[in-house]
Amino acid sequence: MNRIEFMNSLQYKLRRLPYEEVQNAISYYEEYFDEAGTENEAQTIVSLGSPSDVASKIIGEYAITVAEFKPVEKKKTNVILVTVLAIFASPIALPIAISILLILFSVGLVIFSLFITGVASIIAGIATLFMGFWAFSDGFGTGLFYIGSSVLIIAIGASITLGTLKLGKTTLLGLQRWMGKLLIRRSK
Amino acid sequence: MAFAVSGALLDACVLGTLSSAPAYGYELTQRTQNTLGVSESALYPVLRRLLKDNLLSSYDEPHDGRNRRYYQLTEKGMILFQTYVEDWQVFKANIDTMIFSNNQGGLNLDE
Repeated sequence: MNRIEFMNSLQYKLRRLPYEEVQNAISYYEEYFDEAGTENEAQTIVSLGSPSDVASKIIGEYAITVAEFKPVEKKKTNVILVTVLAIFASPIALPIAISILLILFSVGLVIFSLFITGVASIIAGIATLFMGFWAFSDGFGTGLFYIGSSVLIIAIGASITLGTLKLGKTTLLGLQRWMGKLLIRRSK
Repeated sequence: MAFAVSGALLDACVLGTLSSAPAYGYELTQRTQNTLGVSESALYPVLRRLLKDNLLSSYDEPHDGRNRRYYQLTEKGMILFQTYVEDWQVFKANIDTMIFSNNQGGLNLDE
């Protein structure tokens, strides 16, 4: 592998990061090769490690810092995908990669089912509300009971839904930070 | 070397090196690698993060018809570095107490 191949490979591995991040990293390593000098090119490539090693460190650090920044823009949720893909692209043991996928999958399922529970409660509450109007024909008390219950169910459902959304966001950021650290530790 | 330098300790080393004079990436990497044995690719992510946190700033200087990017401490970086220095002295003393407890009148397990 020569310098050009190294840099191309590095750029390819970083392609999912924001443009600016890629440019900064690429110009840093271009300068690095320039400083090392043509005569040391081969040695520099050896001591830098494989492009995926270098990329893993950059992506890992990126995942951690983005997870720590408070304002979460929608775009940044892609970072978790970038991190997962980077873990698979880096020289990492397959069992670890598989367990990460399984953890992500099960965490996702738990959060998703909680979310569905919340949404279902809201729908059930709304249905009860309509039944309440219907039940007024059976008596004022019965109608009032149904309407009161429906309000309670909607409130519980809304709490679960909102709570789950918040939990999901926090979990995602936590996982991202954890995977970032894992990436850095795993890459040599 | 049985002990690896990473995280805040590596940050402190980088800040310490740059506190005496600005340096460019390659220079800084060679120095860190020779002294600490940190891998050559470990430094870029550290520099990037320190820049993001405004602990370092960078400027370009022409050299041999291209640019050299120098890194230097910001005021914020200087303040954090002072904290690191104080923390390090305490930490170092604590570790020494544990490791050299035998020489400093600590419990001698042989007796």
